[in-house]
Amino acid sequence: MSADHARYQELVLGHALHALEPEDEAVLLKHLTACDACTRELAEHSDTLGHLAYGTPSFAPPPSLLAGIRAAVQDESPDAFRVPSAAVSDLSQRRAQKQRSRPSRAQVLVAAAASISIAGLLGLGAWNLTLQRDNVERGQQSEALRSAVSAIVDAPDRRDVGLPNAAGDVEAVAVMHDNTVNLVVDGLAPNNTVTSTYVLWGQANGGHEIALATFDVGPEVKALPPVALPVGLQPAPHLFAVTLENGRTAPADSNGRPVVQATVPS
Amino acid sequence: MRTVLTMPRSPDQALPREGPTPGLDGLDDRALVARITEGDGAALEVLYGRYGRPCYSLARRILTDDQFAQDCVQEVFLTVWRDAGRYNASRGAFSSWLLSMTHHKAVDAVRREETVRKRRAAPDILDDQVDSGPAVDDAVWSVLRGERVREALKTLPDVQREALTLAYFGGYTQREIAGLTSTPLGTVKTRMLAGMHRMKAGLENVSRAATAEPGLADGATS
Repeated sequence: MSADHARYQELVLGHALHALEPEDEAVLLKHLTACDACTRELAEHSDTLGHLAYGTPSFAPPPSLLAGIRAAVQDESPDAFRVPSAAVSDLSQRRAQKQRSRPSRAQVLVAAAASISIAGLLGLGAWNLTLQRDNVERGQQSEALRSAVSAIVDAPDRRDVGLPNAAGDVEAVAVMHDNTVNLVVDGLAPNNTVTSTYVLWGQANGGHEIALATFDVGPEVKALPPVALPVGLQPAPHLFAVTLENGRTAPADSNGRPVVQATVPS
Repeated sequence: MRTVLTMPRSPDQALPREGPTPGLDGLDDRALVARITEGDGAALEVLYGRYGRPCYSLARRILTDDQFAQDCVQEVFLTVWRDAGRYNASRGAFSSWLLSMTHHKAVDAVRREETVRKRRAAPDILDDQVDSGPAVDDAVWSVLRGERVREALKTLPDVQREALTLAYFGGYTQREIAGLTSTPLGTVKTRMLAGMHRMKAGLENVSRAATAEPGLADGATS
């Protein structure tokens, strides 16, 4: 090895450490344009130093950091966080069409929540039952259904909890009644029904999360049939959350990234 | 076992507004970078999820100030957003490039901001520390990796470790280190190089373990 190359080795390391004086930096940068060996060595040093970064005490960044990055990106590129897949783009268009003629979200959600409970009563309950929004909106329910809806809506112990996403938009409502919960979903993105599933979780205050139900979301309003709350979560859990999980079954532990969630007011 | 639904979640803890994007989490770093060049902000968020923590920890260590560290990391990820094409996969892992950029920007900032220039010498880097925030469960691998790195650092002779850590974590130039340690500049450079080679050998097992991590082609996680 020549003395000259040994000198460059030291400069390469100094550059990787960002520890060169400006005059040395200029010399090295010029050299790098013509020396593959030093360029490779620089990459190796960067890799090693990348590991060294993990040697520092580990701190979770505050949530505001990601929010700031997102805001700055959106300032530059307003469409940056639109899901680019064709399927979801279609969904966005459908949503836009719905927005033009839809009744208030609260009206629809409450009606749908009540209806799905009634569907269970009528023996129509099935996992992932889809309610046709138009039917709800036009009031094409049978008289029996209407009565049953009223029974739920008017139940003295009924409690509704809106589950917002990170932006604060309520995209699901948990309707609790007689130690059961109905989840009505309107706004969650459709999931891949082959590779993923949504999971509704309940959690007691200070307790561990419990998977209450799995479900899929399509383009229409979705409502789950009533789910009995486990004894440990009665009369109401401290928290409801929905996650999107890989696979078709609820894992023992959630992935920790709730899509929507809310604490239940005591 | 994790209890990860720690609530209430802060409203500013971002999720994609149009809902989750199943599949992005399974992409390797290079594929995510490619998505970013096409304008996919969700891909940037996935990369942030993988590397936001080590980037922030590194910046915080160098800058010794939360707000400066946040500014630094935000600038880093905005640079990725604006110019992801600068990353050249043939020259190493994305994580190395990202952390190198974080390091450079943090050092630039600490040199600009003399008022926060509370550069510390090496010893505290060997302390085992992790914060007790809600994401601790996600940081297990990061902590284990940190332990191995610190073990590798401990094997270096004191003078080599001092030179490397003053440069990397303190942001000092080689010449400044020579002055701080009353050592000839040439000796400082030699110590750095010798320490780097020794540390590289000590970290090889870390590299192997990291690249064996499932689903992370570049071998790093937050």
